[in-house]
Amino acid sequence: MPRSRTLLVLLVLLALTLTLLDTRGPETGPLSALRRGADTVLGPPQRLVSTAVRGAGDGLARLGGEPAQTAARRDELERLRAEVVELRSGTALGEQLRSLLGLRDSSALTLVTARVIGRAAFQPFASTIVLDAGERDGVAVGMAMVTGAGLAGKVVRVSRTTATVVVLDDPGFSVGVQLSGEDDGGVGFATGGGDTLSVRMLYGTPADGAAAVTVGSDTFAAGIPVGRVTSVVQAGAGQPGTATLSPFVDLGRLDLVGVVLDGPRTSPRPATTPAPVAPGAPLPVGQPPS
Amino acid sequence: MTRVTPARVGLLAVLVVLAVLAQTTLVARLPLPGAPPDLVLVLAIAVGLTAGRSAGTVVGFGAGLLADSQTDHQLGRLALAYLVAGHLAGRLGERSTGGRARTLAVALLGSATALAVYLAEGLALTDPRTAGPALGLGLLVAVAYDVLLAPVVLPAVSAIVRGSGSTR
Repeated sequence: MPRSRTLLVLLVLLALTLTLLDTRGPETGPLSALRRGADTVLGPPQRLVSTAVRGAGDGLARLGGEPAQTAARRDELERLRAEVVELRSGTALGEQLRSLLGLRDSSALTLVTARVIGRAAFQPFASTIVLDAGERDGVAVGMAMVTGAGLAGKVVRVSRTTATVVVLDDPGFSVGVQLSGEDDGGVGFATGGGDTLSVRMLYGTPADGAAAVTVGSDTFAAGIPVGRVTSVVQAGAGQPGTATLSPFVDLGRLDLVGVVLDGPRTSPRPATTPAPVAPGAPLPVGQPPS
Repeated sequence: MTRVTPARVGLLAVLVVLAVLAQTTLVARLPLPGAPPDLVLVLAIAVGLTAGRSAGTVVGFGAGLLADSQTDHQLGRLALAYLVAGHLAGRLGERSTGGRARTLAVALLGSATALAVYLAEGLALTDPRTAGPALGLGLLVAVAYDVLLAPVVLPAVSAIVRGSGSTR
């Protein structure tokens, strides 16, 4: 089939060209407009389906949770259940929201809450998740995504109403971390590695069980809890080693999350300027005459 | 070969968008061990199998590109992987007739081929995501899920493609 072969060759070349173009500059240009367009179109139905699925899930849980008991026992059970609900102030969602607010209050972060409406996983390698908050909510690229337990990911793309986030344990995720220790646990560079993070230490010796928090950078607020050290590999005397972190956040159950709005530092560093040299004055020592 | 009618193209485009939506909101969020099944890839394979290699190639490309747009890797990577799988499924479908065994075999070959293409791209682009230590098992699980998904997706795709004026 010469026609189908032409088609195959044409589309293979087109796909390769797109990949190469996107490797050179992923942030701007027509390709990022294409991504943005797809996000804008897919966002509302993703939100709709997620809401519907949540509703159906709640309904099923209610159906399955009703035991076949005598009337008296069922009444008692219902009364106790209502009490429990009252005591825990609502649902698991309320619990998530409360811990999120706790993190905000303890770390003085400004958060916008969001819910996970999609997960872009097509191959067994990596996945990003989609949040129902975007540009109009103040979310921007590079911001940290958190739950009540700590850091959960980083925003890599935004449309008007959605944000795409790379999750903490993804190999494409990396963050600078500060480790707790007796004097100074040290500073390292953590990269996702499927379920855990591996930390390449810049200096310092981490201890087993030490807690890691974000060190703070131009995209991340400092002091967000990341994880706990589960194993340490020393690299010999005087050399910084490596460590493995287990994330604080249960990454398999992300639903209600927060995006840290005051993460990125937007103001530039102050510039230093030399004192003006008067015309005719001698040049400073050490400069060659022009 | 199959005839291209506007109604058919439109229907396949709708199917692609629905598959990407279902994948991102439902399938990929199922708490399954290992790796998620890939509904979009299975769609490309099923279209190739029922409507021929040209349709499989085009649907694979389009579906892959839309899937690419949702990830944060380079555009065109899944497009290439899926179009090769769709084309391969079309070729195999044209050469053989038969029932469930053929569906499973084509799904197995198509899924494995798509993964191989994606892995090769990852190597060429030095993507850290395709170099993980625990990848081996994940690959096997992913292919197994795709093979299981194929007999579910194929009848639906077959009914839609045949019902919309296909000549095959």
